[in-house]
Amino acid sequence: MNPAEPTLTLAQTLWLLSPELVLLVAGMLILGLDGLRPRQEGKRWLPYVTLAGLASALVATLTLWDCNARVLFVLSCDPFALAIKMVALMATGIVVLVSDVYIRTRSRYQGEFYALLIFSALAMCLLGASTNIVMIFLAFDFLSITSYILTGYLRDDRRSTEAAIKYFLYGAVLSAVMLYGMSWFYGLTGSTDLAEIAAVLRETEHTLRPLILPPLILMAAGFAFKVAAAPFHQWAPDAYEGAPTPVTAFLSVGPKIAGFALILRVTLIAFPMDLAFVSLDWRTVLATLAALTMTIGNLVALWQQNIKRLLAYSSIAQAGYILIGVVSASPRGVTAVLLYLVAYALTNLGAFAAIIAFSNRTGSDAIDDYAGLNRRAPVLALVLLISLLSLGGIPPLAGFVGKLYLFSAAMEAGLLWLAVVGVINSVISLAYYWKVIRAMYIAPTQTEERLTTSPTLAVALGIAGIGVLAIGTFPGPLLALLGMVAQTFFTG
Amino acid sequence: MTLQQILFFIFGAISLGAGVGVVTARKLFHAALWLLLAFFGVAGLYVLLEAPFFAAAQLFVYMGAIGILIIFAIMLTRGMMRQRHPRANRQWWLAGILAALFLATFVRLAWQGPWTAPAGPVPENSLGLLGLTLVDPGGFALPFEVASVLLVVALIGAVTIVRER
Repeated sequence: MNPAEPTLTLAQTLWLLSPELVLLVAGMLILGLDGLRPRQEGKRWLPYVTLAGLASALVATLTLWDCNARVLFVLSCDPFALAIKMVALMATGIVVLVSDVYIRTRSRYQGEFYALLIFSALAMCLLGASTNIVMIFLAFDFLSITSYILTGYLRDDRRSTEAAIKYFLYGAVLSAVMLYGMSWFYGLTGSTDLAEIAAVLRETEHTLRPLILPPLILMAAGFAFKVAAAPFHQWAPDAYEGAPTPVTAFLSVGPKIAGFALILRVTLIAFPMDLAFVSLDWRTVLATLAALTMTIGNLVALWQQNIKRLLAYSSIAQAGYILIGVVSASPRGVTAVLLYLVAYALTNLGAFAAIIAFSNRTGSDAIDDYAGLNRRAPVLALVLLISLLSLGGIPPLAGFVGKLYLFSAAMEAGLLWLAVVGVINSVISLAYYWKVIRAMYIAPTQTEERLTTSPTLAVALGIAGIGVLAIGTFPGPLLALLGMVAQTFFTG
Repeated sequence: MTLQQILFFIFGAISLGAGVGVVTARKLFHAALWLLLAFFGVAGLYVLLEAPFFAAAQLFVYMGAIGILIIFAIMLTRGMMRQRHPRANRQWWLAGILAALFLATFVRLAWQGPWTAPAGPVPENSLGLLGLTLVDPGGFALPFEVASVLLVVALIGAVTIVRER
């Protein structure tokens, strides 16, 4: 509650909230339209209404570009928040494309599925923009709850239910732990606003010094859960394997985008770099998590036989790489995190689009069944190949540029050891990506039957494949844009 | 010791003791009853903190509604009433050590912490102020609205998961 801030009129406030409001209306509209014709089979129009809702929110976000204001004291409308919203909306859009056939053939209730996806996008938008601990916690749990429901969406499938229960129990405990840590920060500083917390910490640096680390660790535990970073990653493999595959695609991308946006905002605003003792604390905590996460994710991935589980461990490892950029805590580090998030989202969604296309036709997720995919569906195999190579960091793909930026940001920040750990891990990761590639291109095949792909999946595959190649070969314009966005945290 | 301090220790002991009961009870039903007692202790602490609204909400919502809900869920689930659950698994000692370390750390911190959160007398019209803060655009109007959207979404999700096929 800062009286010095210029007060906005009602119209201005609503305008600044327009992306969120559009999503809210779209979600409710889908539920209403779905309810109008409860007995109708198929409902092929639902994904398109969802896409229209997401596109409208994207347009609303674009019209707000260049704005820099605080909304009702709890949200920030700045280039960083808007960039995160765009990435979140586009990623959700691709998830809608890959959900189309899968959900129509496996669940009778489609309206709620798409509405929940839209509400997840709403939660991500809120989380990326929150500047107040109360709002952060609400948006955090909002995203968690929609994720739990989506994970258990196929009720008749035991593994889906089991995955949802595990995810829910793990998440409920860790969000309580995080909230306890947050309550300490309120108690110590008397404020729930991130900027005010930083101001109080600056004044009382010496008396508060020994008290910061323990509550910080509790809060970091919740954040680590959200992005599936070790040692709070155990839920991920089971949830990813059991969840409906489009939801797995969403879980591997959505919570990570929102979670890293949250981590960047909290660390850079509440515990800024000029507060040497606090920033040393959180950078040590997160650097440890980064090294642990990369190593555990990559080593365990080596033993996986199920492709969803393999990608689960791979996505744990990817969270470790992104944490390197967070620990760097520099304009270059933030740019690298944003670039890697975009590259990773496109890459992983491409991989999952291919996996869904494969399982829609064959019903299998076992890596051995991918034998001979090259001959059965050459384009599908090609997109999966591009995605896996990009995840492994092979030039000239998006993942390579992203990793290059992350590691160079670490070296610039004097974290050479972390960059070395990252490079070693990238090499290890190639071993398990190669396992899938070998199955697709080299292993002998049992059947030569051609696999066809539905139009919506083909569009998703195309967007992801071309996006990964485009970012990998011409990263310049995107980097310039993200570099500008990163300045949000570094200009007084 | 003042009367207030004595009451504080009594209610604190009720909450903590009942909390121990929740985790050590062998029957789920007994654990639920202990949980209700723990809620009651917390309600008493709210009264001592001069937060009558929270105390009432604690009694009505937690002890009343949520308590009944938990008990219904236990009674309506097959085999839940009679089943006896082991108190701990093989890792109990490790969890115990970690919990003790955690407790020691935070008790020590709470002891030395300079608590800057606003203290002092409770304002005259605290309930009215709470209500105003929840709808004041300069307060928590937006989080309040988001909480209501969150509840609607959770409700829709719950119905989707449990409805008849």
